Amino acid sequence: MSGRLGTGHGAVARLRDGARIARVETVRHYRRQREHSWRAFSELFLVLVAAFVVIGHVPGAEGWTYPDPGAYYYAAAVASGGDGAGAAAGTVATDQDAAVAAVRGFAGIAFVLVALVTMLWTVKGQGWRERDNGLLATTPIGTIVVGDALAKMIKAGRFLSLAIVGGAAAFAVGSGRPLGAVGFVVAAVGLIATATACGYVAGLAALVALRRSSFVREHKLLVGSPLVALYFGLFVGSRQAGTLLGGWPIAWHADVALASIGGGDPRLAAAALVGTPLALAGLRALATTLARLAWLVDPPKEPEIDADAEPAGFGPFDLLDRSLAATCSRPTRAVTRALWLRVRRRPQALLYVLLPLVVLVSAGYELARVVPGALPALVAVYGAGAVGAGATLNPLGNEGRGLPATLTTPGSARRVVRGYLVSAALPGGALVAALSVGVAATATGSTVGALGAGLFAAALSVFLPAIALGVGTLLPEFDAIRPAENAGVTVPHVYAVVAYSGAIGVVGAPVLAGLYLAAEGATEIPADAVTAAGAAATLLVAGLLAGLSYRRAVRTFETYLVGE
Amino acid sequence: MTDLAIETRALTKRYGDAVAVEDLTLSITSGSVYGFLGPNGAGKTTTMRMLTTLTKPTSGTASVAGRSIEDRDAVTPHIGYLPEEPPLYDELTGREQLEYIAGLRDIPEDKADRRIGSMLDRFDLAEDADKRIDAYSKGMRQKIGVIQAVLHEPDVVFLDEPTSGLDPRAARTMRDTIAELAEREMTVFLSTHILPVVDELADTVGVLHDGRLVAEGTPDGLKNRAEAGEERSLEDAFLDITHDHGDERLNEESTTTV
Repeated sequence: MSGRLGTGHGAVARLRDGARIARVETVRHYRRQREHSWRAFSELFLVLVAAFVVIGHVPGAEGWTYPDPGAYYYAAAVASGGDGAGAAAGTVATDQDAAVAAVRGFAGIAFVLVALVTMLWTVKGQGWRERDNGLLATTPIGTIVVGDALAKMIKAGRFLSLAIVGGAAAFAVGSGRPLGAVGFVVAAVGLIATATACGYVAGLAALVALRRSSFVREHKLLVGSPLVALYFGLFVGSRQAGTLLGGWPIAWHADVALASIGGGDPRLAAAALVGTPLALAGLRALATTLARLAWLVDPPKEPEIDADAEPAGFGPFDLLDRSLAATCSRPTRAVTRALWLRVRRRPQALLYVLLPLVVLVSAGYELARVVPGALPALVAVYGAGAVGAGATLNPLGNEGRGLPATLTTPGSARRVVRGYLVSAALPGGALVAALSVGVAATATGSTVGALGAGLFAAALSVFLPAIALGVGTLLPEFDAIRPAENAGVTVPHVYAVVAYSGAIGVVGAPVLAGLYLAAEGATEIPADAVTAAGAAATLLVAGLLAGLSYRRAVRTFETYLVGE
Repeated sequence: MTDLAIETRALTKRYGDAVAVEDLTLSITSGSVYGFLGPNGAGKTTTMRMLTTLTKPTSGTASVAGRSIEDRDAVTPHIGYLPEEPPLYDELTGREQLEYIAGLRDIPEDKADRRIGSMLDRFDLAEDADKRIDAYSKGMRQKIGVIQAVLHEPDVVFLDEPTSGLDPRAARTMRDTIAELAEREMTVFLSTHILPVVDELADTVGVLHDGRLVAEGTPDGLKNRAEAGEERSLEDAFLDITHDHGDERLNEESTTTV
């Protein structure tokens, strides 16, 4: 890269220098992806999924397109006033107003998702500026803010690139108006830019709180949990979320696209077009102030550990620690104890534990109405899923800089992997089993049924973390290009979370299908037999996947090479 | 016959077209201190990674403590390794880190506690042992890294820049520790840029340049290699050797280009 940063203070110089910073960040991200082909593949997968969802159902291409309505369907419905393609597709929108509301809802959800992801990126990436020695000392903070935000816009845009192109084409074809493609692209770009800027500002605000408030720092899991739950909740309850968010100004970008095909509210479209640059300018000023508060502060001092006052050091884990001492070998115990300490001091590693729990609450509410007897199984499957979604989903990344010591310790592969498994399964299994027993006892009133549910949950609480170990070693998350530079316990990679969520679904499908069939009386086989067969199939599938995953995780540690 | 702690034959490591280490042949006797010198990018860290089984050689063979480096399980019980960036977990305290490694290596608890306590005292870390590592200075991390590498009393210890970031007092403690390790018949494979450390401690010095071993001998032997009668330091000798070989490489390249 040529040229000097920070040589001017005008808006053009700031934008030019910011673009340079964004370019470097983008290249760094690209190189990190290139290091791990699986990550590149997973990113491609997410890009394709986003495109499928946005394009949506296309009549005549059943089996090749997403089954729910998307850009094509809604554009057709809006352009024809609800009588054309909408009726042909025969699914959701029956009139123009409903289609317009759906598009606005879609935009509202997309806005919040992009903003939340950007916020997460901003909070997670707090260390890069410290590592980039000199940038803060040589470049105006406003320029760094522009560069950092631009890099995040590019990143978000890359994830949604195919969705934008495909969505624009579908919008134009569906409406029969080529101008629709232009309107769609303008709306999408405006939405991504504003949502990213909002998420960036929110992320910086969170950083300010983290770096300046000891309360927030010490209770970051508690403070951050509602936000993460909201994020996952948007996926799970998209219909209700769409209805709510579609009425907010963040959804006005939808009207830009809709106006280009003769629908929506032209006043809202104009407001979005005029408001976007104004909002971006305001958010930039706010981000600069927040960045100054977040970055120009001494790194927070971590609390000193008082070895005398806290000899065991595990608080609520004392009981588990004693059972650990009685049942595990010294090496396994060492790994498990170290992990408990590390995760307790950096609880953000447990971020994705909330995902299965949100699914559990949301799907549980729906399922309890349809098949009340399925609730204990759901608690067992998604509770056990949550058990595996913490540190076990990123063992290589969590070892990071410690890898040379781990790998040059004899027999460490098995010891480390076993330690990770025990660290999750022991506390998590006990908790989920107890919860399952309680739910089953309440739902069925049968002691045998409750005990069975407890055993089922306990078994899954071993199997699912084992599966997580396999997924995590396949899709590790390192916060640096070189694994050996990873500083500490790291939040699992989002692709690992996606793959693991799929695995939870696969494991849970047989038992939930069995319960559904039994409740519907869909077969001539006695209901109890169908239910038992479903549970057995789930245990079989989980056991097989767990065995394979565990072996893969051990093998990965055994053969891992540093610097290759 | 003298036991060899480290033996390599034509050890080579390539990354694509780039050669990191080329035809490296070493014979290092047990209980000796081997000073491994070379400019930045010479291939020292790659060599250490190969010898500690963390990286596979492209060709050639090597054994450490009599075990082939192809067999990680056979080699690792006999080695300790301190990479340039100490392999520590930021979230743990110094004491917890050492207890973790002692546990992972299955060192009996009472024995581990004694060793950890005495090493922490020796390195003036006892007072800071219960602070988290992410609050440590580079020197403190380095000290914990060294203790961790020798906690299980390995036969061979690989130290990559162990004095880097240490203040003069800590550097002196480190030098004394290395000397003491050698007295206990531990083989020390020491890479550093601080040549007086090598001059003081090493029995043999090897100079790596562009992946090739370009000189090897005792520190005195290397110092006296050039013009006789001239009083030279190891630093002078090192600069001469690497400069000569840099010139040779340049000449070869210009010859090929011409």
